[in-house]
Amino acid sequence: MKDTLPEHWFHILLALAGQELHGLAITREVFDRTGGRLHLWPGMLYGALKQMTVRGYVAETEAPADAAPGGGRPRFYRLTPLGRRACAAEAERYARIVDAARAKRLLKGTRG
Amino acid sequence: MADSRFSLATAFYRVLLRAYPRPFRAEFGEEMERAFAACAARERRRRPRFAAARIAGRAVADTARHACQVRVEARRTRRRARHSFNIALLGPGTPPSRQGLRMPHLLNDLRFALRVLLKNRSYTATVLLTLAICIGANAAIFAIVQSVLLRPLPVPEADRLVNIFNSYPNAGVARASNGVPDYVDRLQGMPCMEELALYRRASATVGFDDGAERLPAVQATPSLFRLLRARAALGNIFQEADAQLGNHLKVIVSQGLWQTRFGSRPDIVGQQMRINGVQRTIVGVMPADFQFLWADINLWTPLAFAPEEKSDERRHSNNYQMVGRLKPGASVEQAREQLGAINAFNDERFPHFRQVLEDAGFRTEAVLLQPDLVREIRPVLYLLWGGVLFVLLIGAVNITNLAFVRSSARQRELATRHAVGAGIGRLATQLITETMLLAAAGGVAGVLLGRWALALVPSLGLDEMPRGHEIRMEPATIAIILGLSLAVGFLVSLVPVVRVWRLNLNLALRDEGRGGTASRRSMMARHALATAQVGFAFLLLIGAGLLFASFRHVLGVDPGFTADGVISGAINLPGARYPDGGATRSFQQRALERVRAIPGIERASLIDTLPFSGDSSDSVILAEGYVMKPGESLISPFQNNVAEGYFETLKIRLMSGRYFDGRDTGDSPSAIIVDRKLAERFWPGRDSVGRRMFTIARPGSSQDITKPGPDSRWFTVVGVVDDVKVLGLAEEDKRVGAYYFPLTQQQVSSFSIVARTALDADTAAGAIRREIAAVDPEVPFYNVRMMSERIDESLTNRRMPMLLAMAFGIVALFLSAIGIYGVLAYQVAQRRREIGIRMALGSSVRAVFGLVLADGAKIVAVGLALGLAGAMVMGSYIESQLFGVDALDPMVIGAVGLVLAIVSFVAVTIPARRAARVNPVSALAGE
Repeated sequence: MKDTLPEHWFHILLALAGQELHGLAITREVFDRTGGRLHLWPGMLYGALKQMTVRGYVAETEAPADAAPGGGRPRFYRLTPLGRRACAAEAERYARIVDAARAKRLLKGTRG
Repeated sequence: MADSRFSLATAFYRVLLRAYPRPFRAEFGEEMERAFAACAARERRRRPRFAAARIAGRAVADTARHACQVRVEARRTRRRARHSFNIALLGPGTPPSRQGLRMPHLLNDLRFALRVLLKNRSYTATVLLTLAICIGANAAIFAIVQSVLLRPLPVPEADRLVNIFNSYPNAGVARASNGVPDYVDRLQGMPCMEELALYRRASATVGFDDGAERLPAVQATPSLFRLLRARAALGNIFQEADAQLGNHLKVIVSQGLWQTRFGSRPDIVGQQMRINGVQRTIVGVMPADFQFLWADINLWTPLAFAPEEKSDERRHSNNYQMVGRLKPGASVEQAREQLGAINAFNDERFPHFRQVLEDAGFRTEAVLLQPDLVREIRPVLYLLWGGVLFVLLIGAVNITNLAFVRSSARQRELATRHAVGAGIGRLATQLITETMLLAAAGGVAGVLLGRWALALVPSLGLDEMPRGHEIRMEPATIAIILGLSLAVGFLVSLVPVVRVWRLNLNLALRDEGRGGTASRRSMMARHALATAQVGFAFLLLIGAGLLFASFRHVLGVDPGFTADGVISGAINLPGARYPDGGATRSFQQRALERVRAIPGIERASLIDTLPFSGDSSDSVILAEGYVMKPGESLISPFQNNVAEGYFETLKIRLMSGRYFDGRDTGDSPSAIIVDRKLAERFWPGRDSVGRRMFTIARPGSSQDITKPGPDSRWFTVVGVVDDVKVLGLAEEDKRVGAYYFPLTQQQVSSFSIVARTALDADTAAGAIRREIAAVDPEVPFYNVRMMSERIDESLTNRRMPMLLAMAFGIVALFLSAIGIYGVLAYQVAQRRREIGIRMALGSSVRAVFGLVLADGAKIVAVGLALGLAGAMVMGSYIESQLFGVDALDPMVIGAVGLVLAIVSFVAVTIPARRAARVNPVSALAGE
């Protein structure tokens, strides 16, 4: 994958890394993790999930038996190996940027 | 209630969901609804104010963006799939499957609509222009309302910020600031506060290699940065230790200053900077988006207080603004209670002071910061918002009328299409598509127009109003305005649609509209619409007229001095180089001598708090022998220190006694000049000159502070001068007067030069600056302005709404005139036959003319009456913005009514004359 991921894709993939989640849970995870900076609205979330399903980054999985929050059966998603690679590549890219910023002493003394 | 709102929001979102392709909706619709509900709940929890509007805006924006993406994507995959399917089974070139036929419906409608609209250029242009103007005005005003009133301050969780200030309404000071002892008390006694901070705006003289520069700065306790949740872009914010004297010589610079003055050097932290003659260490750079109240701040320095500043002696020496952050869940009421408890406790500690404070009406106020900031501009913005919505309403009525006319012209076309098999629903869709296309185009044009109008903000002086520099058009605003435009389009499109529904094939096909009889009801509806237009326009014009009259009254107010030809500018002597009164007085003496010697400068003098500069200072004073009535409050008049020649320079009238002159030296008895208001309060009807006045004792002392004590300072009145406006021409009459001390007997290091001159402003400023530099090159002369400019600037908050209201009024006037014209012209066209018959039967030209005129007159008269009724309702809303004029001022109402009547009359005569010119023969024959 040469081209970069849209930021919200990256965050969704990140949320799915290591756990299978449904849409609402993804929103909550991303919201909490980014301190409320990224708020996934439904169109953004499900549009991305759909496209990422088509590209094979994520796949729908069986919902766990105990998961039925308040009526309706939510769709659960998991990361595919391809999705994991894309996410990792993106994280790698960020890490390089952070390294560069640190080398230029932009990050000294602030939030490490 | 929560339930109904929930279901309303869900219903709203369901409509939005329609924007997604059907398969996508089937797959995710239900979950998206739930996700939306969760988003909405989160948003509501985050900030309950205007949550509904924000949620709607977000949802629309989210849908608009991602529905498009999903559609594009779906189409791409479908094409790919179909392509491979076709190739596999049938070979290329096969026509698309049935499923593909859904879209062309809408596309066809759009294409057809475009063709129709292009063919009817004048109709299209009229509607577009009307929409663009109305929507544009709405976009601009709504963006201002949104940015100034609705959007939270650019601080995280700004709805927990509280402005706290002492208030002494009976002493003439309803909004004082806070003292340092207050801060100490409140840090202890306000458990509802997460953080409290003192701050004040100041300006600082900064020494650079290429000379000194005066920069806007803020002094603040380190807590301010924590309170604002601010982080430094580089280095650090202030720490609590920086508030210790001796440790306080630190400074934080803005990103802007870092870039322009330090070349963005990365090692700036730890460097030294010379501020007001003192070396300070730079500890941090704030990010570019950090701002609190003011956008122009370049420097922040920590406030450090000496023990004596915290002592009880300094109670009610109010020098600092205070802002607090409530703990989550705490309320402003709690804050008020705790402030009340602190004040009550202090009352017990200083019983001698208690009565005085009670008489002054002393209390400490806590109000939410954001609404408080914009409290003065809020009513006028809401008025303008209402006005601009009226303009849209009037424009929408015009468009509706046009739609009426057009739909009758198209009856035949529609009937034909219906006859050859187009269903009613199909025709209706077509008509709606047409209008919506127009509405969308008009909306886009309006938004562009609005953005352009907003670009004029600085030239209108709008950015001077509170939060004015934050004005911008957000995507949400644009979405709402476009939605508004589409809503108008949809409502307007209902007119022809309803007519299609009632389409009578037989009648319509035989001939279009035989006579006017068939459309009697729609005729009445159109008259009602035109009448409403006149009413709204009248209301708007009355509002604009009242603001205009108020403005003229304000302009007519005598400021108490003659501003023409007086230049003024500020000087600040750094304490490090001018440590005592001797040094400052010697500078003032030398500077004044040099400035007075400039050819072309008639007179020059100095004052510490210049009128109309936004600066003022007040302090309690009493007169010897004056007996206060029980319950009467001490008063705190404006206090000024002026050099010799100040009154003469500004031509402030002398009522009795003398001005300050050479007799008032540092060694002579302390002199004071009072203004008329103060003289009348203390010595009503008696001569004031020669009487003595004294300052009251310190709050900490244990004597009756309304009596002179050992530490009172005494002054002898040498003259009485006329009242001078200090804060603005329309200053409230609650002020309690002013007094003046001679500068020679005070130590004042921050003051303004005033000079009466025949030179132009730039020449005079340059000359004065040179002379100041000759005395001390490190003292900048800044904030230089003619006094008339200062007065002018003080009127911005009145001029801007007045100009806007007048613009809206004029637009409304013309739109309603066009409306009347349109209705009557259409009516005349429809009644050609009837008019022909009348004339054939012997009706005179004049009678026919009068017939139409009477119709028009009825519309205008009823409209005016409605507008007048509206004006009575509006009265209570607009009253607070008026000055010297009543909300139902007969002059204003009469004048704008006359203007409206004349313009309407012109609009009516055109169709009336056309009616009078009807040729009975051709009218009857040519049907």
